[in-house]
Amino acid sequence: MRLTNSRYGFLLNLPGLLLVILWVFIPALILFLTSFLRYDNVRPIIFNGLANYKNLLNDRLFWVGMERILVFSVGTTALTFLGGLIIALALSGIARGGGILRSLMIVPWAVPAVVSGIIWKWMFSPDFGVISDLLMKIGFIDKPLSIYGDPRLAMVGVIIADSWTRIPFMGIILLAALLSIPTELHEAAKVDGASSTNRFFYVTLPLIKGPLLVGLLITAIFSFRTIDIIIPLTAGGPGRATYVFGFYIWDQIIKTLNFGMAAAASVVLFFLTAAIALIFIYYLRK
Amino acid sequence: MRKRNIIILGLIFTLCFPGVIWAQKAKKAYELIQWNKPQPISQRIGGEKYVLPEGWKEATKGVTKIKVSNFGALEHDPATVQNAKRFEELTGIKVELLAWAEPPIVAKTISIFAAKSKAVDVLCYDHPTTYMQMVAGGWLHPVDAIWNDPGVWKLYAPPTKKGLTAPDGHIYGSIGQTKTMMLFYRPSIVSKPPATWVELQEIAKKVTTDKIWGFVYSAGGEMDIIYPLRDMIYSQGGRMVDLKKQRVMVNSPEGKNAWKMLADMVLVDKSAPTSVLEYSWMAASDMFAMGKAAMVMTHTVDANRFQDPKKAPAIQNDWAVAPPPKWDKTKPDAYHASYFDIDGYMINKYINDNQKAAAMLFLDFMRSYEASYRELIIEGNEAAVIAVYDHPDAKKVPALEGRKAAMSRAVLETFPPAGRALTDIIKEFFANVITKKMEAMEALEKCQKALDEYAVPE
Repeated sequence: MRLTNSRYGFLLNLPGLLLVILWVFIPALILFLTSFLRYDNVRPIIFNGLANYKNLLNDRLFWVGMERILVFSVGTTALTFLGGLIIALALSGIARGGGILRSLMIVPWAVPAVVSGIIWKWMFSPDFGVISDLLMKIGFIDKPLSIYGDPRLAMVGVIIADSWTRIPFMGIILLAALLSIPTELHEAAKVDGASSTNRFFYVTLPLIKGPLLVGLLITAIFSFRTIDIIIPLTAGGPGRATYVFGFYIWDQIIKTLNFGMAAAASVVLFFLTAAIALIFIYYLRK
Repeated sequence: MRKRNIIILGLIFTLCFPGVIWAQKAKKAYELIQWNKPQPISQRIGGEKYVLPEGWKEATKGVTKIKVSNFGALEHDPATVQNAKRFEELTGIKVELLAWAEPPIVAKTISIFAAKSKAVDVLCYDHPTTYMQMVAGGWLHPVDAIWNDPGVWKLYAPPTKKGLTAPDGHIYGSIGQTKTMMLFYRPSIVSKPPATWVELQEIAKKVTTDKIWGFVYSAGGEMDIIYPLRDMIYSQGGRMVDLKKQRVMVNSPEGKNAWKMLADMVLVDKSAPTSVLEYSWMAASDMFAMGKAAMVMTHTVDANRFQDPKKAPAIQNDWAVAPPPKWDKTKPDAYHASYFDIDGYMINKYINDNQKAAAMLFLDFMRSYEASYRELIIEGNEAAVIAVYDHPDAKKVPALEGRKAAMSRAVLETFPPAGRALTDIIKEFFANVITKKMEAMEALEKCQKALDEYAVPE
């Protein structure tokens, strides 16, 4: 049998494709179908049309979850970008010992999210935490800060903790992109009299745009499904201040056993994430 | 032709009839166990050595192993591990304990049930907020048979029977460990422990300094605000769950008093920190262990770690226990009551009948005097079987008398399905009070409204 390149490629991809169909498309289809069922483990399962979606729109906590996830996602993506960029720029300029620093940088990424949550909970603790203690010693505050007990600060604390785990990933992507920029371009710009700020905005940034957008896309999408780090930090509190959308889905399944509603909420999250992905892809292709 | 057909039909009926009768009468494997033989259940499991019921061998034929989920790592549960080994010695059935981390344990349990999986035979559960949810899911195998002896209930704390009986009259769970709370205080700061919550509030106000809080409680993690609220409501003779209506009530007169006092401690008296909104029950207990709180209501079992110089260095030789306070002096002494909790076991209804028999046998053993003895003496947990506290070996257990008294007065309330979601609502509105978004009573009424709207239809 003669195989053309495309057929050969297709055959090689077939096992992977089958796995994707089995583990992604079929469950997604089941999820989509479940979202049209009254499936609450109390009454018989029946087709329910769009009732679950209608109920979602009338549920106060659905909107709370939506609002919180948008704030959280924007915050964590922005902070991850800034942190990743700073680290990548710093590491790209280090000639000796860079390898060790790069390895160390990955550590937070390797720490399980729940463990990261516990670490940050302890660091921000008003009673035993190092951060409040340091801030008091340098005279920045006069009494310990209850970051995760204050609804105005809790989201900031959660974003910091979550970004800490994501910055290494962004840093690696950006570092690889930075190292791939030919040095001649910077040198030429320098000779032409461009300042370091101008070189960054007119040489570096356009050349790392692709990897940067990919990094931002992945961070944003992952942030939408985050609850693992938030559970040990605040469990969604205080007073739902950090009740991101994932909690809403979690609660529908685990706390109320309403699988139909949980499926509908997941479908909404799917389309929301897809919309964000499309925006990024649009800019990536531009 | 016609005659032949009649004869054939007659033969079919003759052959099938005994088969049908046999099929109807055939017992399921787990029904072969005679739980009240060789002795009534209460005697069989209530003696120092557990006695296997008759018929267990036939019932568990072919079963070599059962899988049992466990709250957290096994190194923290030496009694459970030893009990599982003992069960294996007695029956030859291996018990594989699955050490599941606590935060996702309910999620894992629901996943097993929702998938109708046979992967786990016995699942552990936290009684007040999870039991009714699993019952409502229709996922549990009824275990009425192992409780079929009126005398058996006398072995346990009084609320056990009511707590385990589901609205349909069946029993779907059994006991692993039990828990309740006591008042822990620092004698160097609080010379005489408060007997009432009213006294406690006054003392907390007086002893608070910039280094130590008068009283700490939990209002941060999942279900945590429920601990102090329940204690205060029970101390007035009130209850949180309206059993008939399957509703959670927080705006009862007792609830109002409790809600107000908890809020006042933070906002008016400043004897408790605003960071109670961060505390799980464990964190509140940590505050006491670290010497940052003069009083705390926490689990009786915490006495073990408070006496450990490594785990609680700041309070060595400076902690004591007192009964849970009653509300005020007008209340009877029976109201010195905290909540009662069962960390129990339930059986997956999707496993086969022989596995069910083995699982029921495991439940039977784990609620026995022998298993309770290990829980109290080896691990320092509370003993489900109250008589274990009178065993001579129990004398070395810290704060023994107080623990026994607390156990015998504790109140068990079983939350309706979606109990955890309901406690989240209470947590949310209480946080609104502490963060001054709402006045205490306004928040309480709104909280009750949200609870009523969320509840399963009557």
